[in-house]
Amino acid sequence: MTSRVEQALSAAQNDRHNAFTRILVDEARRDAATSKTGRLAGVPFAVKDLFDIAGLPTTAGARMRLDATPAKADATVITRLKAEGAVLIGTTNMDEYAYGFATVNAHFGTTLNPHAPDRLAGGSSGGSAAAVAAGVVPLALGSDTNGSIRVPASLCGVWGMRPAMDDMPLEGVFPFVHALDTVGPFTRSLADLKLAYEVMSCRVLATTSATPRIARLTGFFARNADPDALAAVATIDAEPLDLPMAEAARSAAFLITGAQGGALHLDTLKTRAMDYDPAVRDRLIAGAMLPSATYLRAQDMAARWRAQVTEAFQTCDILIAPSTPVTAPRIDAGTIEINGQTVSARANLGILAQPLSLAGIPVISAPVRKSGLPFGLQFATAPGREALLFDYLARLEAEGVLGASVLEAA
Amino acid sequence: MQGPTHDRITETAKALGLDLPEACRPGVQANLDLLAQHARTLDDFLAGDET
Repeated sequence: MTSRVEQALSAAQNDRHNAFTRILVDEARRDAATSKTGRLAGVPFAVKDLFDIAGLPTTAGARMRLDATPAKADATVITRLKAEGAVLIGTTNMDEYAYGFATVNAHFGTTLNPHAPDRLAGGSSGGSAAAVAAGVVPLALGSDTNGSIRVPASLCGVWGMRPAMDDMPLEGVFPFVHALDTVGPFTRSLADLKLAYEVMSCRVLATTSATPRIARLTGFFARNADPDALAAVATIDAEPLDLPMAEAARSAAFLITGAQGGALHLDTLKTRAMDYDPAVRDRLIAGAMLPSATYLRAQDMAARWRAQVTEAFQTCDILIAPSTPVTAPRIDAGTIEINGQTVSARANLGILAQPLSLAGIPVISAPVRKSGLPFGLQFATAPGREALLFDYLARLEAEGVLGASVLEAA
Repeated sequence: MQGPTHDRITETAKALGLDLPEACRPGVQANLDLLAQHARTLDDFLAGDET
């Protein structure tokens, strides 16, 4: 089992996609020598560079935090994975402070998409998604505030899960937006995703025999999606469902993110504004300037949206929508086309993920089995129905509708 | 020439205790414009929902 760790370490050291920020050779070898039991015995994994690792500074993708006080303990979810025998081999690249959908970092560079190195991996957990897609590790952790797991999972062709709000412990995770922050896994198979979710959440999901009621989201989700993604959705037997609050919910998520992110960083911005990644700094400052009345109206919208989604789950069990509006855009483009408009990729790749974030529900981005550039579909359910969701996805995986596009590590 | 928007950014930054570097100003302005678009989307929806 140690050899899996050595293979991962070697692959990480030869990483051509700028997925890793630190490779923990000594720590991984030490843990591999002692971690011989558990459901994840000897499984190498990586974490986005915002999880605490005992003895190391938690950078959150920021150069100014390279000399931060080292963490006293591992983040709780890391502790849980290690307790089952998994071996941490490194930290992965991200948008600074998790504010972006691109993994374009002014200090640590851009993570390249393993399927097309001239294209974005997505973000903000792009290093983790790329590390899994490139076959370096079978498991990596990310955080998802507005789509930062689902967007890179979609663009890199792997599985990624945003758990329900408050399902995962956030101790030892650098915060961004407390109303929306979650953490979750990336994997190459649904079975691995389920196992990682169970270990991270300290739950065991029963197998269900129920037949779920499926709805595909129309309206806002269809207007802003690529025709290929809509065609993939159409292959799945599902009833159409329009949630008319979705567009306003996306705007509410955007505003809440700006306001809470700006407030979190305000003190640091007062003294070290020029040490930030410029693109992140300017977004945070603008967010801090948002009028409180606007923020409160966004919170009001969030409450209405959650009520609408809860009502929808009275008549269906699983909602389907594309994870991203497009496949991976070229790095040098900087923009994407959505619904006939040219917009910033960094700010808009998560347009279809943000409403579901605001709903607080568990969502899995599942890779569509296809040739060419990958993309994912979101499958969302009500909190507590995760077992039903995993069983349904297992059927689609078995039918060949879903499946990761995984490359072999160099 | 500095216009009313420039003044508003300066005043808001001052109220927050931010000594806004000049280099940040165009980016902050662009992001404020984007936030304003989303605020309008929200306002339009809420106005329609309340009628």
